[in-house]
Amino acid sequence: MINLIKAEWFKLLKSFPFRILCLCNAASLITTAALNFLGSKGSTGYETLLISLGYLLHHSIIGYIFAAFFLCDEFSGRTFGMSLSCGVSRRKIFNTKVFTFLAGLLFLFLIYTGAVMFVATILNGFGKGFSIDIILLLLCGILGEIAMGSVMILVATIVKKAVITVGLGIGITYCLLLGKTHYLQTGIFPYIKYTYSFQIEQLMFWGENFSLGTFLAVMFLTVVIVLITAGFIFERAELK
Amino acid sequence: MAEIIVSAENLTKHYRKINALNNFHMEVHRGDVYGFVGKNGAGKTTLLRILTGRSRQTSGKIELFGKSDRNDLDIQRGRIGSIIETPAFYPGMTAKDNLEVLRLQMDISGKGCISDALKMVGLEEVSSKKVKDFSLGMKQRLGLAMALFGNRELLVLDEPVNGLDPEGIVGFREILKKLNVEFGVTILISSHFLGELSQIATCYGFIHAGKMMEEISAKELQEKSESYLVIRVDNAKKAAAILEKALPEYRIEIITEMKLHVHNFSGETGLIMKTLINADITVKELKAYNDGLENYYMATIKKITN
Repeated sequence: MINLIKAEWFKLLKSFPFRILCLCNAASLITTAALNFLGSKGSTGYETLLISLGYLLHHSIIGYIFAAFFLCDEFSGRTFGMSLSCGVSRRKIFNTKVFTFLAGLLFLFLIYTGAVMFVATILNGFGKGFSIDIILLLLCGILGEIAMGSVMILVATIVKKAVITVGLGIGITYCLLLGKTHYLQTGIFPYIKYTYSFQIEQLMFWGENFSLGTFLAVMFLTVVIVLITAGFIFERAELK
Repeated sequence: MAEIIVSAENLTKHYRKINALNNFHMEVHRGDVYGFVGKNGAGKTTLLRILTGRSRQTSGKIELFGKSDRNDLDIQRGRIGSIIETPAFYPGMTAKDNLEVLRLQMDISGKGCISDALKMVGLEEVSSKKVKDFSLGMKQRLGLAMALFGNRELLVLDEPVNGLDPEGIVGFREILKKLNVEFGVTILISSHFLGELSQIATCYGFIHAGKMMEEISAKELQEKSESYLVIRVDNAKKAAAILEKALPEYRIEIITEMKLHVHNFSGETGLIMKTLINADITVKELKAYNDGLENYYMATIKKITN
């Protein structure tokens, strides 16, 4: 599988859309930094970290666009046949794709999160002493991103078309956000608390109104169930 | 008898209400150039997709290089290069980079094999050009380079010359001949260009409505698709009687009152003409025909559909 991963990274590094996504992340970072600089009371590094970890909409848009060209284009471009002709199973191809997609997604996520935190820290200080809590917070952020990435993989595997994946993915994210807002206002449909999107946004309330146990359980179950489902679908998919 | 490297047994594939393959059987021997012939929708591409792992059969068994277990089939597919419908590439990458992806996936050391592959198909000058800027012919040739990459033992080609100009078709044919004769590559090729196919194939399979109708070697086809003479005369019955008496080695077939066929024809039109003229038969037309692959296929299909 190492050789398959090497090939995937080669494709990613040569990929023009991936470079554009990195630029979009950089543009978001510059905008955030500028707003922080221009604002009367700028956010500290710690506050910025909390906000960026829970910034679901931004991560969703970037992630679904990434899924569209990294996964869907392989279905529509019929390039999975190339991997099959190397004598590897569909399971290995899928696992390689999952590993590389999540690694790429985390790269985009950490670059953005790390950079905005760094800029805010330079401008307004970190705002909190270093502790294990910060490491735990970052690890939870990574896990949340992996859970969200898994859902993106499932959507891309089912839909197989780039534009529909992006549209559907962002639509799902909006519905979950609306569901959360509705629940917080009216208390209706409390099960929304156990979705990955709700839990990711709860990272913004780390240390205040955040249940680590619930977060970990939701994320692990999401990753396991969603990736098993996506793998099952991929193994039986008609590849053009 | 050469080793069987591809076999399909009772292969069936359903797509909702359509039976793309229906208890399909096939065998391809090592060293063959197997010409796969059938009309659109007959099931050719479905079969080739199943052989290359892009699709799964509903029931039945396939064997590749003697292996039929699912895990073994995946491994054996590493010995098969293919072009299914149109070649697939990463269009934003160069020809060299597309082959580099394959090289990494197949864990082949050294990049020299990339330039060798591009040289074989005449694309070494454009190796740094992006594939999206290639012409159709260049794409087909790159597809062939990718299908051959890694010393494949079997090539599965689904209508590989579609869209190529005449020069491109001839070039493609020469490459395939070289691969088969010099390197012993077995080729399974489906094509609508029967004239082209008949120049390289060593055996044929005719598929119709998801079933294999007939498998026949090129030699057997040559024997069955005979040469014959078509003669138009004023009295076919009289002409037939005269020819049967004078030239008993020929088989005479009366088609209409004024037309007859002379089978087992060996090229002696002069003798036939002289025999008829001496018997005061007026000969209006005398023309030689050869059935060939096209006519044999059409006759086979006609027989089946009737």
